[in-house]
This record gives sequence, structure tokens and C-alpha cells, in this order.
Amino acid sequence: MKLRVLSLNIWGVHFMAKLIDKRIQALINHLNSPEVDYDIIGLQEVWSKRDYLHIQNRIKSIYSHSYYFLSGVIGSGCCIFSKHPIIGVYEHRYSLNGFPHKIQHGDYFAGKLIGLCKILINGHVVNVYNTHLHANYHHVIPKDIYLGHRVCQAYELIQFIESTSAADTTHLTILLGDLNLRTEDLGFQLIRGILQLHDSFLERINKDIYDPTVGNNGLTCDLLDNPYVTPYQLQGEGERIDYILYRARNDNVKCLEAYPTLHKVPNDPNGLYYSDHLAVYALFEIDENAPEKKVKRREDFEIVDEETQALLRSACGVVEETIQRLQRERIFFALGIFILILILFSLNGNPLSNSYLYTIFIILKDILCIIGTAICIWFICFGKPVERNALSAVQNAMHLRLRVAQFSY
Amino acid sequence: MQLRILTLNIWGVHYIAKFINRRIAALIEHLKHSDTNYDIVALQEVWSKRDYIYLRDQLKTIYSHSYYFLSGLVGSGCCIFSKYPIIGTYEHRYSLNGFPHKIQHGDWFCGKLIGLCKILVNGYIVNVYNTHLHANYHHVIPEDIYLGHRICQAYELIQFIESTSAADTTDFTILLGDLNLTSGDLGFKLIEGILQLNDAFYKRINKNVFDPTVGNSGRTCDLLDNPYVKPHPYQGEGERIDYILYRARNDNMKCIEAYPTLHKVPNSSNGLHYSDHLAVYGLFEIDETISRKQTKPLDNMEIADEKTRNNLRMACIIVEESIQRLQRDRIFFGLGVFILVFILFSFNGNLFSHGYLLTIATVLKDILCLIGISISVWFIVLGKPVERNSLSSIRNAMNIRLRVPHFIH
Repeated sequence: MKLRVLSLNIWGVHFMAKLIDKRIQALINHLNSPEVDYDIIGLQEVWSKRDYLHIQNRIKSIYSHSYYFLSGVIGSGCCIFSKHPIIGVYEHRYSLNGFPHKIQHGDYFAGKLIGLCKILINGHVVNVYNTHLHANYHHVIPKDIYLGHRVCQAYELIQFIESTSAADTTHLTILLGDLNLRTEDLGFQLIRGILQLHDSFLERINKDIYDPTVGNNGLTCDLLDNPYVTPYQLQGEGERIDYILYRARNDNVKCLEAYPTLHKVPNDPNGLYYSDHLAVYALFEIDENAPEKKVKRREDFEIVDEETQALLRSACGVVEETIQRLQRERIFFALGIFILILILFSLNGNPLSNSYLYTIFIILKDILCIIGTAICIWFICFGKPVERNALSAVQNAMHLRLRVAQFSY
Repeated sequence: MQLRILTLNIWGVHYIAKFINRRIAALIEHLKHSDTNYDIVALQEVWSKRDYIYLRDQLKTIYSHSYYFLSGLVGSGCCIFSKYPIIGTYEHRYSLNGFPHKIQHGDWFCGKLIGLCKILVNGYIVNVYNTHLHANYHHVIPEDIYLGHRICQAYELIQFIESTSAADTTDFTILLGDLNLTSGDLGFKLIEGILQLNDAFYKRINKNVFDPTVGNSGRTCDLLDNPYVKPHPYQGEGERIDYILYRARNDNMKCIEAYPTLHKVPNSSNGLHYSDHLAVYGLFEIDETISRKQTKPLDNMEIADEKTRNNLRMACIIVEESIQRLQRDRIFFGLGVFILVFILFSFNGNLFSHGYLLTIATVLKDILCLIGISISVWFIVLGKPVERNSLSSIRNAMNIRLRVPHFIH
């Protein structure tokens, strides 16, 4: 039995991304064309509910089953389309997802999560996980200030998949999406090491099959010839941060082909591309005659792998640093309150005899100071303590896995 | 093999609850007593980290394994003590947990969750789930405004236990805690119906074994003779809202005894009671000779039970009503912003010619208006949309289970 899987970050950020409607239309055309025959499609950055409903409406004759993961203010952006029935859904919202004051990054307001659809295909239960981790803005700022959050998201992803893909309810586990992690990043190595997932691009059998318009390096983002990517210093030739990872209960699944695709839209006079990311495609072959493996009971959840234990210790270190930095930030915000209140109550002149323009200026200044003060208070009393508890919770879980009895509170 | 389990809501709310230190000392004395021999102890409302650390240090000679679930601002209050090793933990924070403006109820600031400790007992893996759902303040306010949130918490609890207690990683599933649901409540019926859990108090074999200081009614909260409970019109004789629920993979677990206990502290001259709740005790017998049941893969996650399907439909309606009410709330807050801005910019007089007292009053008025405006703006822009997405998510998940393809987005 064959299974065709596609994952794409469609860059559906209204008011910032270019040509969303045309690009979505191109994607719909592609999905409706007869040569294309995906079984499962996972999309990310479908921020607008209307966009999701539009896509769903246009492809429902082929993909009659779909689910959209609602979350947070804007939503998770994640959805799954399937030819085969979705028999169950579940999700896990990440506890940590950036900072609200980084409005230009916007991740905080997205309810990022890892979503699961259990899909029944010819009697096999396939767990399809779709996720989109916090972006790494290293092309804009030199230091990765979201590293702690991303490591925690990776760990929560691991816990979620581990807990929900048990052998008696899952034949095949597929994790797809925009992980915002390269293969050498700590988070990715933890995901592979603990969950024992296979990377479809690395383990594909036919290594010579690829999309000729793209090339065979597997890179999925920040490509040099993508017109929607603003060139930056550390770009290199691009990155591979979108994946299809898999694991089969009975070890009866092979990846025949896997490559990035959906780069330039064919037959388009304006040079339209599908997105600022490439899609990842994988073709799997499932051996239905393979015997049911006897399930060994996992009496103890050890990480046998010494290498993975070392990775987990580094991850604990990253989280610890984030907690330390958080304490410093609280002091920073307290200082901010002091300064803002000072500004609020100075430079007001004499409100009754100021000129028209000056009054407007004062009102604006006061409103901004008030907003700023409210935000700082929120951070000190709520935002930072909640963030700290979430970081400590993940750190304690990591310690438990390492059998280190030192928990932080 | 026998298993002794205890759950207790310890009412550890500093500044509001009475005699916390003495009650905790009494609890520690009880747990260390040579006659008591619990294997697993779960506590709720241990809000203070220091209280938890104190309990842990005092009990570690007997209960050398423990875990405290950190979460949100105040914490989840949930922790587990065990004689046997905890080999894994996981948790799920409820998306909906009351409202921040209900400071007098305070639930919103807790990071309520359902916590899981996988405990290895003589080669068996026991999933112990500890949780504390949103309180029902029906003794204070006639209308249950948190019903929608509690139904959603119950449903998220169901999804969590269902996804994490698969047969090959779990021999026994035990859910305990303060569910704030009576056995007639819709949320409880859903939990029993979908998860197929057994109620220890109902299924106990020796119905004549109970704590003589308490009686045999099974009630665990709002008892008439508890000095910490303020009498209220709907009190009746109390309620049964704390539970031990269980399920065994191989159907080899029997509940021999189960009853509420830990009411009055023995030998206390001041009439000290352990808490405003009673503890629930369960004694289980596990038949180790029964062989492992063969598991069939879940081709379809149906609820065979028509009664449970009806309960689920009712739950959908309750969630729908919560969403409607939410839309009205946003208009209410919009009005609030308008009124508060109006008040902010009036009655300020001439700030420089006021008396001392009037200036202070004006400043206070302005500060309160600002706080009120920020909170209202936060509700309209962030709080209510997030709440709406969470409610819609749960409703969509319920619809999938009912196989109704009508999702709200």
C-alpha cells in the first residue's frame, strides 16, 4: 500500500505576505489536478479561518476530511486535509511561545500547538502530527532569544507524541511541519533521539528522484532564488527546517521518495511562487504482509542512548539560562515602570493653557506611558512568573527522565 | 498484591484558610504513623511551593518519590507522593479556567491541570492522574457561570487520559482528585461513560467498612459538622466531589474498601480538622495471576453507548451557550471602556489648584480607570478571543467523536 504525504508552510500572513490569494489559488489548482494524488496534506500558517474554509471548500471533492486547529488569539495556523476518515483529534498547546511585546514577531499571539489527527487508512491507524514551532529570527537579530522557548516546545512535542502514539492504538506515526530547527539543532536531535523517528529525506530509498526546479539538497526555506525572501547575511543557501518524520509500529514502512517541491508556480507569467517555504513531499510504501510485532512492555522509560542523555543535559542547561535571564528581565521591567511613571507625570505643562498641538502630544504621550506601565506590571506580576513556572515544569520533566532528583520550583 | 491510595484537598490557601500550618503538621503526623500504610498519596490545593517542599522533606523517609506540578501564576496545587518510583510524568493544562476579573474566586490565576505520574509498582505500570477542576461557586452565586469551562475541563481530562493510558504502557489507570462534580453532573457522566472508569466508592466490596467519625454517606465536602465550612442554603448534607476512579487493563483490580476519612484530627484540643474537604481512601486488590489480555487495534474510536452520546450532545449545547454569552461579554466590556475613558477625562478639575486630598482622590480615580480600561481592552482583544477559540476547539473535538462534521471556526 502506498501513502503520499505533503507538508507546506503557506505563509498566509495577511497584510505582510505578498499575493496570498493568488498563491492559495495556485495551491488549490495543484491539489485538484489529476496527476497529483496525495493522501494526507498538512499546512502551516493558515492564519485566517476564511482562508482555511476557502481551501476546504475548493478541495473537498478530493479531500473530504479535514480539521483546523483553533487556538490562542490568531489560531495555530495548522490544518490537515485527508482522503481518508479522521477518527480522532487531539492537540497540545505549547506553554511557551515567545513574548507579547515582540509584536513584530507575533508568535506570542498565535496559539502554537502540536495537533494530532488519527486517520484510518485501509484498516491502519495513522497518527498524523502537524506542528509549527517558534521561529528563529537569527536572520534579523544575531542572538537567538527564543532558544529556551523552542527547546521547551521540542520537549513538549516529544512528550505529546510519546504519550499519544502507543503501539496498540497506532500503526504509523507521522510528524510533519515547520519545526524551525535544522538537523543539527539541539531540539531536533532530542526529537529524533527520544522518539526514534526516521527522517524521510535522509532515509529515502530513491535518492535520485527530486523536483528538477528545486535541486537535490533538501533545503526548504530561505532559498536564494525565492523572491519573497529578503536576503540577509547568514542566509547561506537556505535551510532545511520543514520535515516529514515517521515511525512504524511493525517496522513495515519504507520511504521510497522524499524531496522538497512546490517552488515556482508553473505557467505563471508573473513569476508567482507557492510560498516563502518549499513543500516537503514523501512517498511511503507500507508492507501489509509484515507480521504484527510483539509489543514489549516498557517497564522503565530509560533513554538507553548515552548521546541522547548528553543532549538532554544540554537542554536542561539552555532552560536554566532562560530562567536566569527571566529574573533579570523582571528587574528591567520594574525599572521601566519607574521611568514611565516619571515621564507620565512630567512634561505635562499646564494642561489648561497649552496649545492645541501640545495638548494632543501630551495626551498621546500619557496614553503610551499608561499602556507601557500596564504592560510592565503585567509582565512582572503575571507574564514572567507564568513563563518561569512553565520553564521549570519542562526542566523538572527533563530531570525526571534523566533520573536526576533535583527539581526546581 | 494490595494498593492503598489516598487523595485529599488540603485547602492550603494562605491568608484565607485557617490553621494551614497546624493542619499540614497533623497530616504529616498521620502519614508517618505506623498504622497508615498508603502506597500513593495525592494532594490538591498545595498552592505554596514552600508547603510542598516542607511536606516532601518531612515525608521523604516513607515517600521517597514525589512530584509537584508547576503551572500558571499560583501553580496547580497538585502533587503526588509515592513509595514506588515515578518513572514518567506528563501534564495537560486546561485551556479554560475561569475569568481573571473574578479575583475573589481566584481560579484563573492557578494553572489548573491534570497531572500524570507513571509509577512502577512491582513490575506494573500504574498511571496516577491527579486533578482539581474549576470550583462550582453555587453556594455563593445561584447561577453556575463556570459550567461551560468545567465541561470543557472534563472533556480535556477525558482526551488526556484516553491518549496517555494505552494498553501497552499502562496496566492500571487511577484518576483521583477534587473534580468539583457530583456523580449526577454532566461532566462526571461523560468521564465515566467515555473512559469507562469505575467509581471506587460505588464498586467497593466491603460496603460496611467506613470511618466511624464520618459516617457511610460517601460525602467529601461541605459537611455540616466541618467548622471551616460556612453554612449555605444549598448545602444539604454535603456533596461527594472528591473521587478515586480506576480501570485495569486486564480487569484484575478490585476495590475492597473505599470511604471518606481524615475528618477531625484525633487528640486535638482545639477541634482541629484536617481540611474543609475529607480525604478519600481506597484499598485495592490486584490479582497477579490473571494473564495479559490480547489487545486489538482500535479501528474506530466509537462510543458504543447511546446514553453517553446524548450526554455529549448536551455538552455541545452548553459549550455553544458559553460561546454566545462570550460574544455578549465583549459588548459589555466595550461599553465599559467607553464609560471608563469618559470618567478618566472628567472630574479632573484644575490639577494645580486642588487641595491635597482632592489631588490624591483624582490620582486614585485616574489610576483605577486606567487599570479598568487596560483590563477591558485586554478582554476584548486577547482574553475573549482566546476563550472563544478554546471553547470552539473543544466543541469541534466533541463533534468529531459524535461524527458530526459541523465545525465552528
